[in-house]
Amino acid sequence: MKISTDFPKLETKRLVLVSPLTYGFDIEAAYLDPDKHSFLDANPDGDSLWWSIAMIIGHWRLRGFGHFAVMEKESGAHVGLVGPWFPKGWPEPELAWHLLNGFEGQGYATEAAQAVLDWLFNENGWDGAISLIEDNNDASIALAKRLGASPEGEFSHRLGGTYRIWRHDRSLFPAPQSEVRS
Amino acid sequence: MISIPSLETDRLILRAPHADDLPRLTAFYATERSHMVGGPRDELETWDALAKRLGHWAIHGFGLWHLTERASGAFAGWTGMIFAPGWHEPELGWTVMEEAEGKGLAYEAVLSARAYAARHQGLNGVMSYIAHANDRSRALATRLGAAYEDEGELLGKRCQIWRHPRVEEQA
Repeated sequence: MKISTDFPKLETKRLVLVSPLTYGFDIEAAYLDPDKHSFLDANPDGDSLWWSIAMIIGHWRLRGFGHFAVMEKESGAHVGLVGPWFPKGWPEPELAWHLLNGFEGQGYATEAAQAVLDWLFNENGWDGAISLIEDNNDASIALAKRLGASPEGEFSHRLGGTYRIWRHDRSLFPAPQSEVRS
Repeated sequence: MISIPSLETDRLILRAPHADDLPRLTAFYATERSHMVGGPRDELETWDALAKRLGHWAIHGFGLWHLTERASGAFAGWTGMIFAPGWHEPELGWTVMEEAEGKGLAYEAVLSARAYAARHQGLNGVMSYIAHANDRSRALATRLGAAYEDEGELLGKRCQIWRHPRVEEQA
């Protein structure tokens, strides 16, 4: 599973997605400022948020890919983190998403996730992708369904927690007909 | 990508943590020796820890350098500034692999890291947490000119706080 460029940048109708390792990107301001937006469904423990963000960043360096920082094109506002997630011990590369409070209900997670899946399947030749979602996470399940994913088995995290494996459907992200692929 | 500077001393290179360090790191974190620095850890936890070290650099602009012995190319440990949740202020920390001990390498590495932190990372007159049982670290801290300051606590464990002398900021 590889990624084709050092500094990938994706664009959708309303959003721009960049690597948080892009030169000049202020990670602390975007995700770790307690006075700004927090993540939806976030663990209220600020410490574990810091470690999660550190891991998301480090993952980019170790894997060559990771969560994209998602921003509103027009306002530049941070919307959240969406991207491929594959730490050591993960069953398969996963499409993961973390939306910031205040951006729900606008279809942003769907738009960003679709852009990332399209990019993974078509620009990077990925064969498949899953998302790991707890059965009580209604919002994420709804998003997985909107993306056309189907539930299959379960994955038990070594730190506890059981997740259902939602498999994304590659056929829903066909390569554009008009492009010549080398 | 994150830009982590490399430093050179007479016998060492201080450089970015790297995936190639994983086998040595994993072996270290399986030992008793690692218990004073967050161990024991299994292979997956070690991978996570390495990712977090890299993330720390990106968030703060400082962090732990991994050490390579120039003569042998061997991984010798790590040193640098740490400021993670639970830390009261940025800490100058170090861990030396057993095979690299007794040669003054830790002194060389920490001296270099401390000077760089003061001159380029805005961190001077820094502190180190030292476990009460860690005579080796206490001896090194003393050799570095640091002095015992206070009792402290890190992540639920009581320890000592040692304060380093300020470094001349003009190189």
